[in-house]
Amino acid sequence: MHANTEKLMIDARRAYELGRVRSALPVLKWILPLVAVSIAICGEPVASLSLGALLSVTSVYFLWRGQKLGQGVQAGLVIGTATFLIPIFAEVTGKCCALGSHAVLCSTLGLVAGAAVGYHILKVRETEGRYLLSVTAMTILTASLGCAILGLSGTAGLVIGVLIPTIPVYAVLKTRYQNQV
Amino acid sequence: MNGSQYEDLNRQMAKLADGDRSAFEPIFELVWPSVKNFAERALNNSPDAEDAAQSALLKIFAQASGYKKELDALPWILTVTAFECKTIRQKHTRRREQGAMDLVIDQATDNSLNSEEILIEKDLYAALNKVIESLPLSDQETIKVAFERKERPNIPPATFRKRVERTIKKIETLWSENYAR
Repeated sequence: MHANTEKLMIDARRAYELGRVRSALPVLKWILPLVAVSIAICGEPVASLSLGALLSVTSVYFLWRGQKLGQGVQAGLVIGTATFLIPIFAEVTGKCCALGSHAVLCSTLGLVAGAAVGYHILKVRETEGRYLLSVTAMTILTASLGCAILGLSGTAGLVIGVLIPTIPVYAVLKTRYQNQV
Repeated sequence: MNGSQYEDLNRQMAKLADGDRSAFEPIFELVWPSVKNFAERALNNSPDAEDAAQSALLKIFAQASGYKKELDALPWILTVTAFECKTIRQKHTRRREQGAMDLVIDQATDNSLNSEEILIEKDLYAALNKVIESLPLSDQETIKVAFERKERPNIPPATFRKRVERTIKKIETLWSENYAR
């Protein structure tokens, strides 16, 4: 290949990668309001900012990488946002402490979110591990913004709760798919 | 580009838009010759054709993640290239206008001319002034604004450029009617 063409190819590749980062950035329009609500309601700005930064970096990375990782971001954000709103709503209405201990509340939320993730992957019949990783990571990170209000035990409960139903559903789906092939 | 290459390009573009980097090189090899040929034809093989083609190619790859699968890739690619060629042509037209204006000013202020040349210049300017004075007042004003670097009217630059082009054409017509041998 001609040296100029090779240089052009490198430049084109750089332009492509930058274009992908640019096209991934609008996801922040979804995440930043959640972080703002989390900071305002939970009263744990450091935890909210750290989780928000982690969620932002992860989602932009997944969307930049694309393929299965990118495809799972939207579903994860939707399930995660629905889960995020429950502890926030409980805090705003003053019913947070009446719902039980932090870990129990978030574990229950996690179970519901995990069931939603499981239902989603069954519905789209997606057996690719990276897709599951993307949906699960997005769900956990988004929902944990709401659980920042409940501290570390709440977040840990959420993670466990999400993983309990997700992993078996994925295992069943993968086995069934492999048997079909 | 033949039919199967055309189909292949659509397929590869969809893969690249999804984040599959393995499609990058095949697309580059399919697209670069087409973009280069198109730019050369659009710019009549001018030396700028290569620049236009390179710039178009970088834009194509920068926007590749936004490519929609249901669209044909080649028309989209050639539209981007045509737009780039048009931009380069417009830049040239503007540069030529500015260059012509600078030349007139330079010649008018050039002290190295001998007396005979000065007389010829004077005659030419007198003839040119006569032609300009025979134009409608609005055209005279346009020429003054364009070549004497006065403040431009509050209209879009493209409209003003077209107005100047029309006036110059009128001057050329009048000039050839009165002074052409």
